[in-house]
Amino acid sequence: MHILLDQAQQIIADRPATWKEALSLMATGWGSIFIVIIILMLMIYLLNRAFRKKK
Amino acid sequence: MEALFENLLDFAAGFLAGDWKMLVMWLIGGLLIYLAIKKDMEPSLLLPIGFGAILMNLPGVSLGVDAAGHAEGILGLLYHSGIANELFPLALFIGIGAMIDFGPLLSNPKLMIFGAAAQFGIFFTFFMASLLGFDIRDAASIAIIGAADGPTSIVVANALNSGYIGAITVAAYSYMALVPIVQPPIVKLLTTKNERRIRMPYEPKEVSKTVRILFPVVITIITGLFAPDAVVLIGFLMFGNLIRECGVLNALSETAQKVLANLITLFLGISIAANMAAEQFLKVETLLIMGLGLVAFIFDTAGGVLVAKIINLFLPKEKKLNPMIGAAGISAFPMSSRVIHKMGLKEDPQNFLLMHTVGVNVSGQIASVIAGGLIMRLVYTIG
Repeated sequence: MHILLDQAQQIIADRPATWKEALSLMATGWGSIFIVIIILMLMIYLLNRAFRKKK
Repeated sequence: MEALFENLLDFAAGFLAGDWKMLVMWLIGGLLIYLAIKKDMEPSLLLPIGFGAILMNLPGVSLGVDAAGHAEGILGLLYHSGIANELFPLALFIGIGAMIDFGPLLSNPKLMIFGAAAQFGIFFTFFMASLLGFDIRDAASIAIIGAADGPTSIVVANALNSGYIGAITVAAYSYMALVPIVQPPIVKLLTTKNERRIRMPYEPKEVSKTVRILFPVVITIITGLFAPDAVVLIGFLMFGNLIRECGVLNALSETAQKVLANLITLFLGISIAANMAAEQFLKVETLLIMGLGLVAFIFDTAGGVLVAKIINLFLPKEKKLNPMIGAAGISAFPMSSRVIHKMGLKEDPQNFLLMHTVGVNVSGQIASVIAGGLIMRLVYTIG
């Protein structure tokens, strides 16, 4: 039993990605990381603003 | 008396007949042990992996997993108990989370952008591995060497059922140890002397205890919402960090940082060796994986530096960033932050970049884990 994902075992195609697929994954993956990180960044700004250390 | 020499004679006969693979694995094991002891390269992992590689390749002894993945001996049993189900690397994340002080990042959150930037190598390596003919699972597993984070590499390679988990783990830990050799030339190639001399004064903003406590909880929830496949990885990392920051579980925090992390590390390396039987390891693909691992680290570094240079185009002169800090966005913590800090000092003895590079480096830790989860999700969108 995998803790993470069992379903992936069945779904992933059993072949190399074409260059177009690989390029598309590269753009989507790197772009997605930026989106998630920017959201996290904004959350930290909000937290810092909401719970500023009292002097 | 014959029985005593039977195994040795069989081995000698096999060797004379051209079966030298076991001997090569002893040399590889010996090399890893040498690098761990003499060069201090990730000794806690490379030494057990090296010894395990020798243990796995003794004539007449079957300790690992067979071609069908069934346990044949103690190393196989350990592999199934802790690696095949991802338990060891995930438990190690609790210890890592307890070790990391996210203070420099919380104090200057904009540094997080470089954590994202320096994951470029992962996705570029997926592209390269695909062009070299690795199937989707293996290409994604090889690409994640660029996460510069051993446990993430193990988890992703295992969850995607890659046949190269041994080579991927060795590559990931080797390149993490080689950060001081791999990163500086790339950073120098992509920056001018003037850029490397840019000073960045450190003006820390105080971070309240409430923020430190809320941070791991919020990160886990946000990651769960946007990148659900990364949530177990990030969740365990953040659980460890919450134990550290809450202030009421000091004994647990210390246990996670020391006893738990050491215990898991002890078994992790030797369990990985269960996949290092000569027939599984000595393939052309292993050399390709080592090469692609280097590509991943190079393009991670380049991604971080180039994004910093692009951001500089929009900043006023007095607020320019030292683009070298982008390179610390790879997850190899704290090695990368120290390497970049030292490079800054070499260019200008008064240029203290350490707190910035630490902030970037810990954000790389978070980003690399999210990248691991994202790549696991994205590969099965390829039909």
